[in-house]
Amino acid sequence: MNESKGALTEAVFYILISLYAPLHGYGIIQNAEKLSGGRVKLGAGTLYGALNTLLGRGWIEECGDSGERKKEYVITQAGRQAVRDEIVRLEELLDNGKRVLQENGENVD
Amino acid sequence: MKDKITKLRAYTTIDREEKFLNDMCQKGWKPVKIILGMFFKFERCEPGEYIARVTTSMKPGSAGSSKEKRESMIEFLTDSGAEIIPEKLNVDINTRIYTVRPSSLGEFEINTDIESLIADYSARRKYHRNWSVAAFVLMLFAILFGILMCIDGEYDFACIEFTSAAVELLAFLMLFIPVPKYSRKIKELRAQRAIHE
Repeated sequence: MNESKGALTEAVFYILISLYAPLHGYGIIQNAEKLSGGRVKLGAGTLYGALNTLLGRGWIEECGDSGERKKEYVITQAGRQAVRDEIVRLEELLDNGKRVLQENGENVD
Repeated sequence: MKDKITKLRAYTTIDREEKFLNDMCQKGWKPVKIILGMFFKFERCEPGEYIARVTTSMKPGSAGSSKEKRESMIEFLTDSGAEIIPEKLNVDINTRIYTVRPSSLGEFEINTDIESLIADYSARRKYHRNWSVAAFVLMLFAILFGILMCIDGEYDFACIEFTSAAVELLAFLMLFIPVPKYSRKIKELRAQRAIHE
């Protein structure tokens, strides 16, 4: 299976979409919480693990002045592609789920 | 009424240490310093004013401390309103991060997804496994030296070696006991991951 086509975790998805503009760690935590309406609260351990994985895959990169105390990160082209792939996958899930429920007379709302 | 107290406690697992610190927070004692890994200093606070968390700063897949991980974790924690509890003269320094955060800031969890929980439990298991193996090897050497001393008729030295072996056996057991528990926890989390990512 193509690595970039697999399902992303919620934490990874919110980190990636937070990094369309450069942010440092705590900025990512705040942005993910804001985007999810307070539902997704990234812990320090979760953020550290996810950032390392994403750096390793080349989906994000460090940016800004290397002399600064706090590292900033930004999404790469590969990361943007992963976000687009994930949105397509989520839309497919949503469409299929809704269609099957409607066929069985159930309403999702 | 005292405003500061010191408690002597020795824990082999992070889980028990974290429970102890949170029990003290609930009683109105905020942890402020840890000396030699077993003298816990507290200052008076409101009961339940703080939540304590203990986590590892070990590299994934290694029992060694990672300076880079420690620095990043401390940055994320302090930016989120947590305080790092300083450690002094701890032989185990830098393998753990002790932190407290005011409960008024809401829930305080360090690992909020299954992947990081698995990584954390794996690091803890590796740490316990490595140190228990070290204790076991030292015990075997102590027994061997004890037998050699007996052969040489040095019964006093043999007695010291066998006592040392008994202490190392105790250390081995204390360090090894959490390993199966962490393995079970990792297995449960992996099963959970198969359904919920």
